[in-house]
Amino acid sequence: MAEEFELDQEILVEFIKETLEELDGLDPKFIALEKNPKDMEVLNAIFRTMHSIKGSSAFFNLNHIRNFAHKLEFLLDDLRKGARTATKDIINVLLRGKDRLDHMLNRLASGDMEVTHTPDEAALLKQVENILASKEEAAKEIKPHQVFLEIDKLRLDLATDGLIDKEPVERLLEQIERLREAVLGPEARPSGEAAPPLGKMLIQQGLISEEDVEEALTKQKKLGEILVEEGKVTPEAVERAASDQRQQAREIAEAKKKKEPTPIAGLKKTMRIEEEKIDSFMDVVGELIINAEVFNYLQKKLEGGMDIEKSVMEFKNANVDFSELIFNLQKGLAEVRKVSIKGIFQKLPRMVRDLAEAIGKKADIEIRGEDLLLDKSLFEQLESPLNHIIRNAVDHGLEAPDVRQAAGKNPMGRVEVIAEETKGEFVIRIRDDGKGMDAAKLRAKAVEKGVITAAQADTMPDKEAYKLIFAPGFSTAEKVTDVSGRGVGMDVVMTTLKENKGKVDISTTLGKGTEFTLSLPLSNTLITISGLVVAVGKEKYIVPMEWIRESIHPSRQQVSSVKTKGEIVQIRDHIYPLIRLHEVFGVTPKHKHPWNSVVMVIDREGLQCCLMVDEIIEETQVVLKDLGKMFHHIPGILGGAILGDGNVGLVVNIEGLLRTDARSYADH
Amino acid sequence: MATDNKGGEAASAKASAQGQGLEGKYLTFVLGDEEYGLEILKVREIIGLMDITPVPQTPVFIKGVINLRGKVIPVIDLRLKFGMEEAEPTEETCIIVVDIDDTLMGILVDTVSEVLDISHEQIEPAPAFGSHISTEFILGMGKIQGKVKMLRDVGRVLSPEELVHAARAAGQ
Repeated sequence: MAEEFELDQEILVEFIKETLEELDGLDPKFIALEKNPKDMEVLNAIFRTMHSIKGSSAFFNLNHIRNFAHKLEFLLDDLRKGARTATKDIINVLLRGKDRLDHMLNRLASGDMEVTHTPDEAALLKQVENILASKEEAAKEIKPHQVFLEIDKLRLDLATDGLIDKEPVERLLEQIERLREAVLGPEARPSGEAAPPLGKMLIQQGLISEEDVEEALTKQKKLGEILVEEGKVTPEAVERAASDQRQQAREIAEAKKKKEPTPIAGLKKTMRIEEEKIDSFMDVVGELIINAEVFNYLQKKLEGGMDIEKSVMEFKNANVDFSELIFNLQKGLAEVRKVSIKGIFQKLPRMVRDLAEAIGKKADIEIRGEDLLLDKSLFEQLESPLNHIIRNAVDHGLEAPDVRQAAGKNPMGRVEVIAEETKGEFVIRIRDDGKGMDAAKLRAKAVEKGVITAAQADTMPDKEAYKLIFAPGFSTAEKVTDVSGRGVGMDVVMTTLKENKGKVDISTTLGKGTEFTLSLPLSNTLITISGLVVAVGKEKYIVPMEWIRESIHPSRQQVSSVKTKGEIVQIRDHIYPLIRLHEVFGVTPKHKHPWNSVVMVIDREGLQCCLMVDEIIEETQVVLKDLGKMFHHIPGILGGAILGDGNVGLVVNIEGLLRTDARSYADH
Repeated sequence: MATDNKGGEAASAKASAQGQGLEGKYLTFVLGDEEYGLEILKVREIIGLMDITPVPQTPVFIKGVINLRGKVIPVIDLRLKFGMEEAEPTEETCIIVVDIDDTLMGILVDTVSEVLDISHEQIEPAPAFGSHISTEFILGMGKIQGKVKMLRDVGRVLSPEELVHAARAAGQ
């Protein structure tokens, strides 16, 4: 008994998951249909999805879902047959219907087994019914076999539903059959139809009347009566069983009522993984087992003290194999964790459409790179900032259609979303062809709102001024809208990106548009860093090699102090500001003066400095490890790495270190 | 199972006022002159003191990070967290690795003593100390063989969320 329930639960969980996924995929299809209402391929795809939702929900007795999907299916079928066209209104209803289905499934997932409709749902259902009842371009020409095909489909539904009183319907169907034979000929009888019951056949053959059948049916005795008559049981036993039966029925009904909603177990985060990927792990594990055998063999050999030199050689080889296998395993796992960014991207067209409609704008969205894979945890974190930026682009970036037209632009605004993967970074660009951002306006607004001081505003470069829109409490919208403009939201972008060591860049041209570039390090995948291990006081740090142009022992003459800029180092004809790593990290150095220490010259991506450390110990290759949330806020630390001695070394984030001062206002 | 656990935690927090629902196995350890209990369910392992890499721009009680078999985890000095003086490490100093809300971290203590099975009757509600001592994190007092042990809600003291908050505040 318990096992049966378990099985049901499992199938139900699978159904919820799959259906939610399918519903997610519908939005872009609806949008595509709106653009091209005659696209049969899209229409059929939507229809199939709806049909299968109807079918499976009937299987689970989820009548509210079944009912809803069924009505939507009707509407879709009308579109498919060309009896109706997919107008904006109809698409709106379909989209909202899809949302309601989504909601019903989520209710189900949270353990609410109630199969009734909320007022919202009932209202929408009514709306669908009204549309269905209105005869837009109702069949202009009657094609008898089309009509009968339709009837057959209805019959099948009736047969599976079993919800209504069958008797009058069956009589109705009989009449239809007679009509069919008359119109299409006797061979047109639908295939696969079950033979009518005996009574009905006798009536048809005119041997008996309906009254006869009914009378005969009332004469049928109950099972208990027959058994008593035949002396198989006593009447008391039958009565007892019958009362037990009633009692059990009551108990079951009560238990059903009492059942409180508890979230359905098993709806934990899951991932689908291709079998092939798992198989490749098995291969690696197989090799590791062989590898372990080699180590066993070598251990015995070494214990015996024979051929030490050769054994050491063999040991080295085995060790190399081992490292390689582990590396493959780790790389493979990182690969398995990746999911397609499509999951986020496919929701965007709907969002842009709804938003544009709500605020009276016209917007089109183009998406590229949706097949790129991204680590699942990053994927989940990225969704909210991405949504905020796109909402912002539509709400604040794009102008109203008449304004666009007056400016000689296409009234239909355009948003492009492009995903790319470059070396170690996942980049998403969001580009709009709206009005662009005005740095002067942003500065003034920020001062007014108290986000920055007037003095800060004066020295702030344009590129930084654009980022003011991410500051909490800052909003450029003149009036508050439902969608954006409350100044909450955009700061989510900054927070999320910071937590993931990502960054955002903005470039904009007044009147032409704006481009946001979100970049995230692919941190959960295996990142190896080649760097220099440096010593500062008692501590060791790793400085990524890619940032270091050269390392020098400066002479006393090369170092000087400038009043406004602090210490500088002159190397050939270049002047670099000096940053003492011990000061930034608050440790006591071995050497006080730069001319006794080493400085590393950093000059990349417009960032220049000389970084002072005590000494350079060695060059190394390390795997970057996340230190955990407790340490994510530290701009100068990229993460940790296990050094050769087994201790943790901190990897310096040069960019974070150098940008800290310039960016500090964005933090508050 | 995981959900059961969470429910239990929530329940124990709720029941703390009455000293109910606190019975169970505790790992007790010493800080200075006091003995503390830590729910055994949260303890993963106990390791000896090892080299701790300090991390800049963090509060003093965050000692730094260690390498736990390839995993980098933070270490909290519980003496400093409770506002006591820092102690020189001894032979007995050790790190208790705990798992709190799915975050692994090490807590540095003077020494671990024993695992106690504390029954419901042995727990009394936390007494009201003078206003200068916060009883916020004290679940109750366990009276075991005449000795009084303070049961700290270490899970709350070390809530990862709060620690992240504290760490951020120190970094700015």
